[in-house]
Amino acid sequence: MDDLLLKLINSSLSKGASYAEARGHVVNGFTITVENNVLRGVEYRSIRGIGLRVIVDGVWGFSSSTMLKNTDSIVDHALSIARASKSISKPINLIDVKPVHGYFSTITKINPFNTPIDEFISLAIDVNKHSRIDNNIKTVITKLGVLRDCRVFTSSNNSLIVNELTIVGLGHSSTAHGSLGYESVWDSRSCCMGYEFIKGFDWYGFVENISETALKASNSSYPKAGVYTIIADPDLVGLILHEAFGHASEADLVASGESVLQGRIGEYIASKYVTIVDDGLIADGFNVPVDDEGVVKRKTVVVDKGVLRGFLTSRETAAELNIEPTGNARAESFSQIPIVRQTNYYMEKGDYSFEELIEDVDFGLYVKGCGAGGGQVNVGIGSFTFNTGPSYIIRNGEVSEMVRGVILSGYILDTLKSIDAVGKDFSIRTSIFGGCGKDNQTVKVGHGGPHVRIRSIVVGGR
Amino acid sequence: MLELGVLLLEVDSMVLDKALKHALSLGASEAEIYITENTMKQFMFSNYLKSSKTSFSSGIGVRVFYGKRMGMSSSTSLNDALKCVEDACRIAKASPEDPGWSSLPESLSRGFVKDVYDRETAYISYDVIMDAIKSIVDNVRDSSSKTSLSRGYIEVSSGSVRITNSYGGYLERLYTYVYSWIDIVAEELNGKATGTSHCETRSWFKLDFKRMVDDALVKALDFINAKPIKGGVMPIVFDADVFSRIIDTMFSISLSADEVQKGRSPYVGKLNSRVAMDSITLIDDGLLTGGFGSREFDDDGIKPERNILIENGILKTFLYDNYTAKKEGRKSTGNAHRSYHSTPKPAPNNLILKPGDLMLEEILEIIGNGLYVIDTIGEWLSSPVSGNLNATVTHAYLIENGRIGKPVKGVTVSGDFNKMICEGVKGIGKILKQYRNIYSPTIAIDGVVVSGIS
Repeated sequence: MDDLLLKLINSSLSKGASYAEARGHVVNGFTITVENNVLRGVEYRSIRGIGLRVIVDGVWGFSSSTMLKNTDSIVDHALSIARASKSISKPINLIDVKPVHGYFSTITKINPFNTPIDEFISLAIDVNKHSRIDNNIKTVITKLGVLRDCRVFTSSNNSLIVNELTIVGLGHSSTAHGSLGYESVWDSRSCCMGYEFIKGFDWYGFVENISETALKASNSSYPKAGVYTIIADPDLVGLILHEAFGHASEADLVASGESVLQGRIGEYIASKYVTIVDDGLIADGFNVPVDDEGVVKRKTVVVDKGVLRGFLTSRETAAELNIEPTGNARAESFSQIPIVRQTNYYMEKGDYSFEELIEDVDFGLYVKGCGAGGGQVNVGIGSFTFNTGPSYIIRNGEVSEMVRGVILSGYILDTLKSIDAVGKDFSIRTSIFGGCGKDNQTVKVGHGGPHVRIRSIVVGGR
Repeated sequence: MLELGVLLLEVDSMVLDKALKHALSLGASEAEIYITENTMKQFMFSNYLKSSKTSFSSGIGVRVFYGKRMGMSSSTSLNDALKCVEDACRIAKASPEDPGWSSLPESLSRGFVKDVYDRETAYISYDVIMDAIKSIVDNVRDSSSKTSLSRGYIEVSSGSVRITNSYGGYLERLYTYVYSWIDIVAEELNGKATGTSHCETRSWFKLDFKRMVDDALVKALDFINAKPIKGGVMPIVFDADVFSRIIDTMFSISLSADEVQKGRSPYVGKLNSRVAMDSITLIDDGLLTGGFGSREFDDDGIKPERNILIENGILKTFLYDNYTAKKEGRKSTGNAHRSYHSTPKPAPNNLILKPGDLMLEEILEIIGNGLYVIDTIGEWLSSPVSGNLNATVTHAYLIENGRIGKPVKGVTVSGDFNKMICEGVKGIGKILKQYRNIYSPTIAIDGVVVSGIS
């Protein structure tokens, strides 16, 4: 692969490119789906391709192919699309970065691709069967996924990087019918590890919990709408930060004037308890040691004790805003152009125990992310609405009965200022299933944080 | 000139034959190979070009059967054909039986359809595309000092699909698609509005950028001062463009035989009974000349047909692929859809609501007073299962005494879609508009709930 990519680069330079980067990408993986005891399918995929990005006369050109023999054609297309674009493009500036030579790899003890597929299939079927803990559990779906993603990056400034990643995981959804209608709960656990993660995890207990939550929720009522004090769990903190704040801190949206954070560096935009970071390498997260522009992904502090300190950048947006390159240019695959993305986005832990967070809440909600049903955000004004998972009423400092259909809405900068205590626990999650979408590209991310107390937030109910 | 094109992929029929034989030698009772290749050119722009790219891709999907046990594997490289066969065989042997499976199509068939592949479109130069983008940008800029182009997109793709299976037979077809949309913003001191418009064809030369820009301009400029109205139950004239998206949401999935057999469709048990008024006839035509969903054969390798799904209000048939058809012992309607890495499922080819004989003015005359809805968001969140139609109106005109009145935005329309088409249809236009592979005329429906200011 390396030789092929170097050939593309040299050929691009000799034909007039001032800069060239070539990415090779090999993906192998499978997803097993079991629905109500029946194997619905095993999707087995193998993807190989190369993407070439060039700058010619100050303008980008990009071309990609799965047909690896066709190197001349890839180079010609990348250059000719750049030349044709010149009259209607803005000139490109890239911030300088040092060339990187490196090999990164997920540590796996047991190669999942050497494990017989029967073992995965029978585990998925058994776990699915086990989740039917009650006659009121109507539909159960189990997914088991294994993925190996290997990327090679080379560029005309002499970088050569290989990044091999393996991720495995299992997700499950149970739909229960109760006295108050249907309720579905989906949850998953994934890890950048080998088959040992699948073997070492108690999936039976995991799906039992999901079914119990769905059952309980199907008999739970909705909270009254109003303004509440809430404790948000790490799942929910991660979700809100990623969607309502993380995207606003992506430099492309800042540069184009689409972000509520534009022009606010140095301002207090959150309470002093809040520190928010984007970190490529964190335990239990998705491993991004280096981005798809060959820039090393470091720990980026976006908010430090309430003060906005930085944005997530690509080489182009870093130059445009005259700030540091942070290694956040990511592409879903070889066939896409890298754009500014988050990696693992989370809140740093504080020093409150869960008991201390909850003890002075007379009446409020303990809101959970597990089973959350999506939401909508407006990055330009910072507004958000999220459907959360089954949650609990807090009464006199204690977790009380379950409620469902909790909808949180607000303005993220108000919400961050309303945080008056941050827990000392911490957890991060990533997922092999799905990911974060932007401009028709999906990349895998991690998010999380500690438990957090938000003093005042609008809760929609019924 | 650069050859920007299709058929980069050399498919050696000997290799496919060898792969199929390999599957049988490993004990499979049936095997199928599905191959795609695609060249896609994509351009995003605002007042200048934001990104441009070309991607070439190929894919091979192998399905093998051991009796009623299925295994599937896929790769982007044709060189992996034998490996895919071996992986698929391993998966099939480890999988339980699917009692619903009977067999792959014993014979492959193809129909004749015009204008689904245009060689000049497949080989179009980047310069021609850039000139088109320039003309869109100039056109918007020159039309009004209030408007600007906030986003635009052009996609030109071309490629081929090939199918062969262990019963013999080999099919190959070529296609081209062109797809474009733009968003325009209009701004005054005390107001702002957006207008969006789209266009999809099978040939570059049938794209009408002028019409697309004009449509979006009208939507943006006319609605700067649009306001909500008081709610109530009233007749609505749905513009063809809006109603084609509603048809897509309400019928595309629920008329699939797969959904019906799984008991998830609201049309279960309604065959040969009335589901709409006499004036409603819904057709799926896979052989429509230049249709966005037209093709010589479906993804099982079966010739598509022109099927009347709803005839004068009576439900006549569902959309079938090979699997769902054989389950009921009937013929496939040629509606199999898949990608190279997934198994087929029935879906519409070109879904067409039969036009009536009215011009827009005549429809407005019939309605007298109501709302003429020309753009919505969120209509896709409506539920085909419950029949609950819901949409947020972003662009509409009040209809006053049979004439177009002031612009309206920020209201929602809702109602029971089944009741609307069973009782409420007041008139159907004669001009079809298209949203991807769905074709609809403008339609007037009475008894729709409009929620606005109280």
